[in-house]
Amino acid sequence: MKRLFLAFALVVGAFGVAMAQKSVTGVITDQSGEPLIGASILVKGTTTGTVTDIDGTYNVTVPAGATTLVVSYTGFETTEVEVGTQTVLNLTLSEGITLTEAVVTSLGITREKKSLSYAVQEVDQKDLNISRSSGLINALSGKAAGVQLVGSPSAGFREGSIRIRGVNGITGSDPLYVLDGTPVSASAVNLDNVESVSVLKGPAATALYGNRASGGVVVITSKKGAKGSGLGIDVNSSSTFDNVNLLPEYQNEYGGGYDQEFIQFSYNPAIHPASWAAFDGQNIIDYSADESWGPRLDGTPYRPYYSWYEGTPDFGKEVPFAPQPNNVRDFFETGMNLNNNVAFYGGGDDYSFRINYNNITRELVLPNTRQEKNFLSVNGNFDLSKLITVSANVNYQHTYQKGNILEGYGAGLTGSFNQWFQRQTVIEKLRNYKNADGSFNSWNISSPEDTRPLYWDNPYYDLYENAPHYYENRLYGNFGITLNLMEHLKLQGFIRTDLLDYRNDSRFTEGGLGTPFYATGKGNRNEMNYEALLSYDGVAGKVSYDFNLGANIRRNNNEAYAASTVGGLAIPGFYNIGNSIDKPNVSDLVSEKEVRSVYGRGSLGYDNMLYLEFSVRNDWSSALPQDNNSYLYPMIGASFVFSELMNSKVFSFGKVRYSFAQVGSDIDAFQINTVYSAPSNTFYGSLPAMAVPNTLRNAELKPALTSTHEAGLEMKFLNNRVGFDFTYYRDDNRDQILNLTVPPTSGFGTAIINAGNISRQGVEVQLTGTPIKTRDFNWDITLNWAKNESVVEELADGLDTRVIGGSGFEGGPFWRGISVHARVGEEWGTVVGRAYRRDANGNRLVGENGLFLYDENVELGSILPDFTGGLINQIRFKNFRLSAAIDFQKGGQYYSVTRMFNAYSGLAAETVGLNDRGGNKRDDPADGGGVRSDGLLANGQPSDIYLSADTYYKQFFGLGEEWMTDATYLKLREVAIGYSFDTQKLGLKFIKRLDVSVVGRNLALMFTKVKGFDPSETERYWYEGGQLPQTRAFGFNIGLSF
Amino acid sequence: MNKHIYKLFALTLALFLGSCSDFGDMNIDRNNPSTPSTAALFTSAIRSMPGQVASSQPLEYVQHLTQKYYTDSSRYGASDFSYNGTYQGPLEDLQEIIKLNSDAETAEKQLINGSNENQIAIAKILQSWYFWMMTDAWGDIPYSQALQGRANFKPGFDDQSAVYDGIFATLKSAASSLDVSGTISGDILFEGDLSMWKKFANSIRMVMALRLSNVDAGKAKSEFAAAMSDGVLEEGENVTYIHLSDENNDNPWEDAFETRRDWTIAKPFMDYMKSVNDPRIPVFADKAVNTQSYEGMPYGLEQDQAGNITPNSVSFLGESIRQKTTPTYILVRAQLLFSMAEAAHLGMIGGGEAAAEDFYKAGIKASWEQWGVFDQAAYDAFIALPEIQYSAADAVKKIQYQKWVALFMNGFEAWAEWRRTGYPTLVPAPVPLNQFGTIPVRYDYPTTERDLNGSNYDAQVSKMGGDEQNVPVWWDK
Repeated sequence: MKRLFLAFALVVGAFGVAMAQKSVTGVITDQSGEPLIGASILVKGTTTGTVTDIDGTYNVTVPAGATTLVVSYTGFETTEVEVGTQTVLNLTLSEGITLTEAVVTSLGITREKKSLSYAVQEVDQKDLNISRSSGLINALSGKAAGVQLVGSPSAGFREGSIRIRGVNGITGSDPLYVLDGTPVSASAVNLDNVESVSVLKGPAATALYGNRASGGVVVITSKKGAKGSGLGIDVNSSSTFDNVNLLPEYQNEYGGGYDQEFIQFSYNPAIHPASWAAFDGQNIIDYSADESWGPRLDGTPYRPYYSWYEGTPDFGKEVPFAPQPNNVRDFFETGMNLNNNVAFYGGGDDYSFRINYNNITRELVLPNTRQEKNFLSVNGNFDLSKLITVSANVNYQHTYQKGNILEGYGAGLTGSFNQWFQRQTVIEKLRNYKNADGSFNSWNISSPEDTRPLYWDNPYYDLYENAPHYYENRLYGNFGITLNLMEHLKLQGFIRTDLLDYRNDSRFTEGGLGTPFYATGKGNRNEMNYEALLSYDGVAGKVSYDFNLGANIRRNNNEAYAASTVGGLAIPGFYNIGNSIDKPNVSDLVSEKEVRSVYGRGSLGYDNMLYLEFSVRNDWSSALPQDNNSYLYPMIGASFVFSELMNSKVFSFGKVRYSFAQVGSDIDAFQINTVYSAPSNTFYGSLPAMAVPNTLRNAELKPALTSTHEAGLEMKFLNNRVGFDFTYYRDDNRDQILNLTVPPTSGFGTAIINAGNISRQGVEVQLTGTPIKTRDFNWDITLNWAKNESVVEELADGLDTRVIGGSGFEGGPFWRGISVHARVGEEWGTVVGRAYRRDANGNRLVGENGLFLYDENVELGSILPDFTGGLINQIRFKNFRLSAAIDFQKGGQYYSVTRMFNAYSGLAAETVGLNDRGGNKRDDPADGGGVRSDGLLANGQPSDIYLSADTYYKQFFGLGEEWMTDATYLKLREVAIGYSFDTQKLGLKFIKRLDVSVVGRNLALMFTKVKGFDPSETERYWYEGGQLPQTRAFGFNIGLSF
Repeated sequence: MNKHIYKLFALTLALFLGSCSDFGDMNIDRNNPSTPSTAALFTSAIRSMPGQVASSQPLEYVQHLTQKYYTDSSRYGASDFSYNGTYQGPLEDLQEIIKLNSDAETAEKQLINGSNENQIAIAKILQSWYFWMMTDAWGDIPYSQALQGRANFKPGFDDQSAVYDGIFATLKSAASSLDVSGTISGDILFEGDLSMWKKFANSIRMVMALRLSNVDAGKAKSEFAAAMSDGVLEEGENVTYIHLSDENNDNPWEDAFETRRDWTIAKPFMDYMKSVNDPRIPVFADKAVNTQSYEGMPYGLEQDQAGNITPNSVSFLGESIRQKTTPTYILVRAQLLFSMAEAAHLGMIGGGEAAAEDFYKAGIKASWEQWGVFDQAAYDAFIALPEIQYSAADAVKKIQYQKWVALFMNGFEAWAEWRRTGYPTLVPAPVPLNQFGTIPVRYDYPTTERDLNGSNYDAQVSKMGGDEQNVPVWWDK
């Protein structure tokens, strides 16, 4: 204890030590004598540094004992210069190789890229945020090889997620996002405050992050102030506006109903008011129909649904039965995304800070939707003495969201427009969703006598009356202390936190189809990390080395409380759980988990040429059975920079690398001990009901272990103008913890097991080129390309199939058995379902009733892409800059619910037009109309049976083969054209930087098999279940620095 | 100095490592109870019974009901049939009750809810009822190998005859092991009256026995007589599930009409009842708004034709059938009486045609009483109608038509009886959507069998000659 006190006293004492130091100034220029703006000057062996200003000048404080300045600038050779006794140091940098390209790796350790034995891809800030995307996930799409965006429709708030190295349905998970060392969710990242992003793809790169990194790690480094740099202010403002872009192709020839004949209103004095006698004989349609097989839209006068609401101006009036080709498009509004950011930063001799405030306000293309996000970040560090540096990174984020997104099967919006609708519906009439008496109207009513909504509410009613709300507060960041124990040895301690609390509500107001309802939820998700890291590095002759030893305790505590009313609201219009007519449903959940870890790593370098790296980590997880909760996993890798042995003008850099790594993983909390389920809504009177859960738990569970071999080759040519980075990997995922689907006749639907082995292998290629590089004109190209395949080598005893998704397994309607399988011995992702019956030559067969014959349980293809990738172009000409990002996917299929219902309900363009004998499809087959199933009859002859159009198109309901859709696409996702003003020439010297740009997002779907759908936006990687249409955004951006 | 820091670090590390794998009770799931209550498991298993009976699809097959707007299901269109919820739900809950009462370690703790023997017996009776419902719909089903959890993730299919044998044996032994002087907790069906469970078990056996009339007359006769002598539901007794008025416990048909108006009375059923002026019509149906009369909806029309019939001109499912607290009839005495009538007519039990006629008339009376429409004078007139009057010549037909009416809203039983006897005479939907064009006589297996139990499924399909809805079950000859 006494010694401990002594140590403490020494540490504190170090504060007082005054350090001798001096100032050095100078100008940094290129070989032509032009000043280099923003070149970085670092005092070697310290964290002190600065950047050059607009004139290329700098002023840095050099502590006593420091002897060398390191000067670096992108595209130039990094140069070291001895300070000696000089106070003015001018330097000319030569263009050339940037061998010291540094990347941020595990635990925030910055390493020279050439020393790495595994794939890490940096995404530049300028590539990341081309079109001012709303979030990190969207911004990453196509920017790194093997990084795929999934489930992110552009019309909603949903951010989707990314998958690194393939959408792995077996163990696939989101990557871990680490912001300045703190694990956070992707939505906590403010793109305006991001300095750089590194994507750590495989287990070799992520081993030190442990079991949560099985989906890869995205390491985000935020912008920080620099020491000794003086005050700086950055202001950025962007506004983008989006509109619905892609819609399915609709027909505009026939309106609502099931029959082409109008119905005549028949006045019945027994049930109708006398004033209705005048309506006798007027044309009406089948208002209850939510399909469009009705009369031709030929302008015949008829009574629309809204003419039956007494007391409205339209009551009793006939209008022409006319097409409304733009009705769906008219429904959507212009959405907006306003993003304003201001940052203050700077630093003195022994401190630096950055304060950033960001506001993002979004409105979707859907009426009455809004999202507001406010971020405040404070980042700073302070050298208390030569011995101690403290740092803090504090972020606060508040999110408010409102809006009824209503997508998916049967939901009010897409459910109407793309599944069940009357094509002639007039949006302007729909907009007045409220009647004079306060009740709500709808296009779908029972009859003139009963004008209440029948199966569909008016979508405007849903949007305006039933909008749910969401509120979130998040506080995250870290507090750190660094002890420089001695030269080359330091000890760091961090407390990292991510505290989130949320509240949400949703409702059905009275007067719609739903029973009046109110639900609310509250909860919090907290993660704390306590971390210690000891670092030692040095150089001995030609050998360089660095070692780390660390320990971490991670604690997750979650609470979720949700309640909803049952049976309606006792007092109408009072939205409160206490107002529930029946006992409300309540769920009250907690979870707690702790993982304790120790780890070590080290690397050795020889002569800037040969590198060796290793790490080892042991985790203890509270979520695993106590006898089995400890697991150790190593990583080892080597790289060889063979270009060091050569001296060639053409060949500027070459490296081979190889690594082997293992990563263990566990399971969520509370999944081991046997329990019974007794939710609050299963009481019978006062008697509780208790059930055996459908998931069979496993007290014998072991940790899972993934082993990876990864090899890579990286080469650069012609002064680094052209290069490639090639990676091959193979993972063996043993004892994966799966919630395996089992035959429910066993008494359980799923069982938690350790599954045999699932292998994954793939290649990633990154090509970079600079076709033009002059003082005024620079063109950089980056192409990312990746291919991945996952094979189920072995499942658990006796089981040969795991159902990944489909009827009864994953949300979403699939009707009669479309499902996705992972089968032993095959690549996962096989879709199984109903298919056309075919003869030996592949001809489809038709039954005597004229309908296609079909078979069940047929393999319909794979959902997995052959390859994915992206292409980024950055072109600078003088002060202009053009950035463009394209991404693509070849192969893979998705299941389209929208297409199926558009055909089923007679909404799709394909349901009208001419048949193959020149007749109108919608006409009676006896009059030359109808549609023929194009296949062979039992006699081997082509079918000559014409079916009525509705019978023909309804036969495809549940016929999975028809609706599996090729997901191949090529998309121009983002473009920005910018201009940087020369503020000096403009006489605005106080402005250091003034950039303006126009940006566009989702500009062109250059290739896709089926028009009207964007395969890159499907809500799940293998189906769209009736989702909102794709939107296109344009906007402008202005950036200023002072 | 450095030495001290190293020591400190080493010490911390050692302390840390020493206790690393001990997390105490941190991972005990606090969101779900760890201790079972067999009473609550019983309640849960019984709560699933009305859902089993309320299934709409067989009600369409026997043309009790037809869809007003979305007529696909009435035309035998694509549909997913699944027994998975029954295995995972009530059957597994009951299996747990049997296990908890059988294992020496846990048996004693369950005594607060009734004797171990009684709990096991009732769990087995209820399991048998569920298995019976399923085998009649699907035919061969996983039975002897089912519900074994991790011990068997590939339960094979048992022949329906074996399932029937198993259920007969289980019901007999369970009923005979019941000590009816005791009671059990959590019994929301009979409020702990074990003698009712005994009668329920025997009544199931009786109906099952008659179902074998075409496939194994000998067994049908012996099992029927045995069930009858063991004691079935008596006068005024029905197996009735009482719904409560709250949303989580109300009648599912009330829910079906809460926001939708799908279900109308099918015209063949309505026309038959109208032809004999059946007093149950006002209970089963609402009046058509326009005519203020009872009008059936033509069965299984194509959508355009259905759309041309305005909703105000047909009778929807009667309001009293779809109240929150309308009971669900699980097994009714009327059905037993009609079964006895047929058994007497077929000579399976004694008494001959005279007994058959008495049972038949008693069946009609019991059904009228059950639906609350009994009136002696009306009843006397009704049974005197030539269409209703018992005749030995077409006894089965007459019994079955009245059974068809009595089994309104119990589609599974009505469908099974139609399949067994061919009565009532039904005309399939005019333009059926299935590939074979006839009324389905079987449910096809859920896709989980195909996907997860492939080898057993494939063997089963080849044995049956196809997993199709037109492949009759074993007793359907």
